[in-house]
Amino acid sequence: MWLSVWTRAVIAPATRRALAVWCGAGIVAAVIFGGNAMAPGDLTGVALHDPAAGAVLAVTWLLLFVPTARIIVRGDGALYLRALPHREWPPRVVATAALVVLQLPWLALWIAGEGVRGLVVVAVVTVPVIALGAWRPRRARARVPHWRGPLRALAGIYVRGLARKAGDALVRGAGLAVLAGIAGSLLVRNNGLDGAHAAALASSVIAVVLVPAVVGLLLPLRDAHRTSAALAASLGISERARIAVLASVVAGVHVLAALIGALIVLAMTHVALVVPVSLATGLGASLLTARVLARARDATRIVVASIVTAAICVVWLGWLGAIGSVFAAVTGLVAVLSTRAG
Amino acid sequence: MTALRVEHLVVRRGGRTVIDGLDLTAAPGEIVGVVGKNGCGKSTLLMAIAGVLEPTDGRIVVAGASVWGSTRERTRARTALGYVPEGADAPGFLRASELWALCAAARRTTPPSPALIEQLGLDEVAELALERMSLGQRRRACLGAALLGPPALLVLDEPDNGLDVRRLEALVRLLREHAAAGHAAIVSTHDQSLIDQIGARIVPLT
Repeated sequence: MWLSVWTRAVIAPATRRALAVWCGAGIVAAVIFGGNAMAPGDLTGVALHDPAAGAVLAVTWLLLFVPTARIIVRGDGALYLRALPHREWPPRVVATAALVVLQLPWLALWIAGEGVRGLVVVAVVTVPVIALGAWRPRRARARVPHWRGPLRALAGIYVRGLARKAGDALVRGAGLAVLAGIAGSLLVRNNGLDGAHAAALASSVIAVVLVPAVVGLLLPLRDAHRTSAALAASLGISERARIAVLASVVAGVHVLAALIGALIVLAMTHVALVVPVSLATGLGASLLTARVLARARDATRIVVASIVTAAICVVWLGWLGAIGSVFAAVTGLVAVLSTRAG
Repeated sequence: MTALRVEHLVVRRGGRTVIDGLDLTAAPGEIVGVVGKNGCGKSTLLMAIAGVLEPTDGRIVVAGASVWGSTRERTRARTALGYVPEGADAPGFLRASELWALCAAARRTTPPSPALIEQLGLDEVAELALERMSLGQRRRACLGAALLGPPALLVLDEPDNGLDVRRLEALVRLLREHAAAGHAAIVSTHDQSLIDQIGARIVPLT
């Protein structure tokens, strides 16, 4: 029974966290390997023979998987259980198995690409994954913030809510943003695209891959929005102002993630137009999501909203090309401005 | 044999030495009250004694077994103690009845007796998940789990938090009975009247 409770307290939340990575990796795999004449061996071959490419791929996986590994390696969810008598080895065996199984996309890539040699690569990369997962950085000395005005203070609270409650999701989001950029670049390159077509296609890929990246950040933001409602009301901050602050924080995070993806595409394909197109698309998607977030009570609605907003942006880009990003941004702006307060 | 012996305990957390060279004992039948200002390391000390937080240095022995020793000693020590946490809460998805079943199975003892259920009002919380309970209800559920056995050493981290007057009286009664039966307890609290009522020997932390 002890082991079953330990598994529910440690492995279940780790699995939930890994699912977002699996979703992102699945989308990227579909883009890279689905009908683009690329095989896993091409990617792993490049990673093995080009140290820079290999380092980028390994760091991307570290960003994606360390947040999941942290839950398992630290086992903070089962602190109480340590006070009960138990055998030491069963949780270690389950944790080791989980560390292998939850790396499924990475494992599948390397085994499909390199066979047994791939297993060695996975084992080598798992060492820093465990070390980083166990690392507890010293807590920075808290400084008293000086915010000018209540709205900046509220935005500061939301940002702190993100940093303190969703630090792992931020790291994973950065990893998925890099992955989105890599996927967008490969799709553009393999299809021999350039200019506006390349920018629209890469931005669509980034918008879709960013869905699992952003969902992990939206839930703590919703909590910060809900739990600060009474405080804001007592300080005389209107509901409209709160929605505007929420939308600006969501937009800031989403646009930053889109920028990471766009810069990767720019570096790999030299298509400069991808940066403004991706940023405008990210702005549109984030503002559309912010409208739902301001009113949403359950997590499912937020997940569905993220998928739908990404789909709306992709439709704009698919229909009008690069200029569709402007329409995506305008759609988002109209959506957030028409959000009813109260 | 002492119920609890802490020798030259050092605990560092987040780059800060929270406990530095602490020595402490509790004899069978004795209640030790750990007091001190917020952040002085009361919960850290109790987490180390309960086997939750590994100390940087020093030794903790419960009922003759080292809490952080060999696998066999660890198991023996944990079987002999019951813990009510402040910081290291039990998994919130567990119902109280599941928590008691877990603790009873792990410590090879029986579920809460009817007398314990009556005194702590455990029947009201039995089917509630810990994460859905109020602070006082969670405290009662964890007290019920800690008292199973009963253990040679109770480790209670601010057990009076959130308890109403009736349950506070029950806690005092249970602690007195526990000590009268020859078992020990270490209790951290800010409440001087609780210390007085349970007749605890005060150990101040600075």
